[in-house]
Amino acid sequence: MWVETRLCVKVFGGLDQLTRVLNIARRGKVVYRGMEARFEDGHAVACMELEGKAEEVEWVMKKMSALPEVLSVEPRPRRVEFEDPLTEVVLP
Amino acid sequence: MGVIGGSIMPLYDALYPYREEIEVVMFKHEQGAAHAADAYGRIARKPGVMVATSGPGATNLVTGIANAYMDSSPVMALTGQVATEVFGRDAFQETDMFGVVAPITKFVYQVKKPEEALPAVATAYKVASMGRPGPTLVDLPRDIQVAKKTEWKGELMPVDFSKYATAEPNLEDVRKAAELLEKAERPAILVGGGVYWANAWEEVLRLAEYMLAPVITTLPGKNSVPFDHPLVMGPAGMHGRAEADAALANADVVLAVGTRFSDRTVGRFDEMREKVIIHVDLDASELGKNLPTAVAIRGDAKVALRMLLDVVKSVDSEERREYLSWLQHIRKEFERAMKEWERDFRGLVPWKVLKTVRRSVPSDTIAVTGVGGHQMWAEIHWDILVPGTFITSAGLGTMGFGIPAALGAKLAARDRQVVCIDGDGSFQMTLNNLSLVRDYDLPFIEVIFDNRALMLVKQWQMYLYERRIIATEFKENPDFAKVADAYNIEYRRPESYEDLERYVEWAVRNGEPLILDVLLDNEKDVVLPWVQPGKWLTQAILPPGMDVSLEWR
Ligand SMILES: Cc1ncc(C[n+]2csc(CCOP(=O)(O)OP(=O)(O)O)c2C)c(N)n1
Ligand SMILES: [Mg+2]
Repeated sequence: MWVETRLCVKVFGGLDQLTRVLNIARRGKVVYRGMEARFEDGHAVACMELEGKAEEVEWVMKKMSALPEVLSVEPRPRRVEFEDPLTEVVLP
Repeated sequence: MGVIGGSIMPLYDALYPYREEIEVVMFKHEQGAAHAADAYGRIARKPGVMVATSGPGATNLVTGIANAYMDSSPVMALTGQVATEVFGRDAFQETDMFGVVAPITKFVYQVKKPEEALPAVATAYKVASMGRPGPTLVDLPRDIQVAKKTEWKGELMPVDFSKYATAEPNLEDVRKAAELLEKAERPAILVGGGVYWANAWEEVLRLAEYMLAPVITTLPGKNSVPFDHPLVMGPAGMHGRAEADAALANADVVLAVGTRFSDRTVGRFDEMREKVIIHVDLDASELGKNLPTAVAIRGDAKVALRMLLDVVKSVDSEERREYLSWLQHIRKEFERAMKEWERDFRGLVPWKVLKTVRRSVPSDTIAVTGVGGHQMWAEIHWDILVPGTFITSAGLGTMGFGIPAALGAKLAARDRQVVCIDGDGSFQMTLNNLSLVRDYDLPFIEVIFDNRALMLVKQWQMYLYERRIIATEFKENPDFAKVADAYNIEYRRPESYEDLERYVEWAVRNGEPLILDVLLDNEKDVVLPWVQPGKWLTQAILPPGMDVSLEWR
């Protein structure tokens, strides 16, 4: 199952804490299509668009959620799921 | 535990008035402090604390932090850092420690304002042992350390502690698991390190008896259950016991508790995927990470197993008894073959050395190991009689772990005997910390498996690289007797098992440290069974003369 999703991750703190999230993101076997982050009131929220096999996307979300500094990981909007990738995607 | 330096001096200075209450232990190398803190944490079940200065002091901790991360060990590191005003200017001994350890810590924080310092340290200490343990680090710039004291009323950093609240296992899932176990033809219980942390070995054994199911462990899981129970097959995997490899390979339903299904244990994932897997783990991110599960139960192992015991119906079938006796037959064959193999060796035989030492020390002796062939021999042949007495570098496989870990174990349990099963290569990586034996009165027995080689790697060269032996044989070892003498430790080179027994008993009786230099044949010291890379558990190379199939029927 191939999944395209947009994840929003909220952490306390700032760039340091976001770096931890990105360290997990780097190790996920998924493809990132876009990413943006905002910093306010002692929090950072990073939203990223990614796609990959459902279990790999799941891995990224679970690993991010396990970090103590992560306050929430939300897939937004709804996940789009396909049986197969629409386009050939080369994984890292 | 640590080494002092410019950027961490104010913190050490603040310890000065408390030096009677907080034991400050000076190591000779920060890596030693890190491994000692790791072993201390595993035995004391609370974080060992390592302290280092900025730059090289902090980077010397990194291997130890990575080790604690891979083995889920509770430790906290406090590192000095250059003053915040010179951040990013490559000031003397500036290293971006946050950047360095971000991927290998459970929690890390660089303090940038004085009022954050106490909440950060308190949070790091707490997080290290909450839920699944792990290493944490707080980086403390010099100006923060010398800043005026701020008021602190016990506030913590705004992390989400609810993540570590042990989730109540879902009863429906537990019921499903029970049903699968009842229906299974050849169920098995795979035990990881998590069972030790949850104190759940009694529940594991009871369930095994209830189900007539063999118990198999991972390498860290060896620490979790006693080996002297007839249903405990011991560790499976790359260098596991034959009966354990068979029990895992032939299981149709596997109840895995507190393990991440390392490639070292399961060998090949394709065959594992065909099994029905019930996975119990505290860490939600482990469930389904390496293998798909039929039932995933998030929660404390002890609680989950008790719930399972409440609902599961005991199974006592002829089929299961027959299967168990087949596994026992493999064990007997394995032991018979090992006995025969002894005759091939000149001098002492590695596994008999372990059995002899085991016999000569109390049952609650803590065994720690280096990394290499000797560690694998210990995995297969060192019998754990009391859970929580086996400390090894399983996930990272860090040579040099042994000596500092022995010191850390002894710091946590001064009233108990500690034995370090070491390799001559591993020994030489961290022997500089031996001076702590006398400095802090931390006697332990160091057994060096002296094969003048990085033998486990040489074994791969012999079998997988057509004997192209390169960079694995030492020309000559330094005189270990003189090394021992330099640190004022007794040294013996046993010629027989009687010698060995006598020396060990002397050390135990007198509470003295001892270095035993056990010379081994470096052509014969090949660890078997061996599941070679890419092979399945039933394809393990067994000891010579062991002619049984590990495949059921
Ligand atoms: C720090 C480190 N460097 C290299 C290795 C790779 N390695 C794994 S086992 C081994 C040999 C260990 O030699 P020794 O401690 O003498 O144990 P033996 O295998 O001879 O029993 C080596 C080099 C490692 N695990 N750790
Ligand atoms: Mg060696």
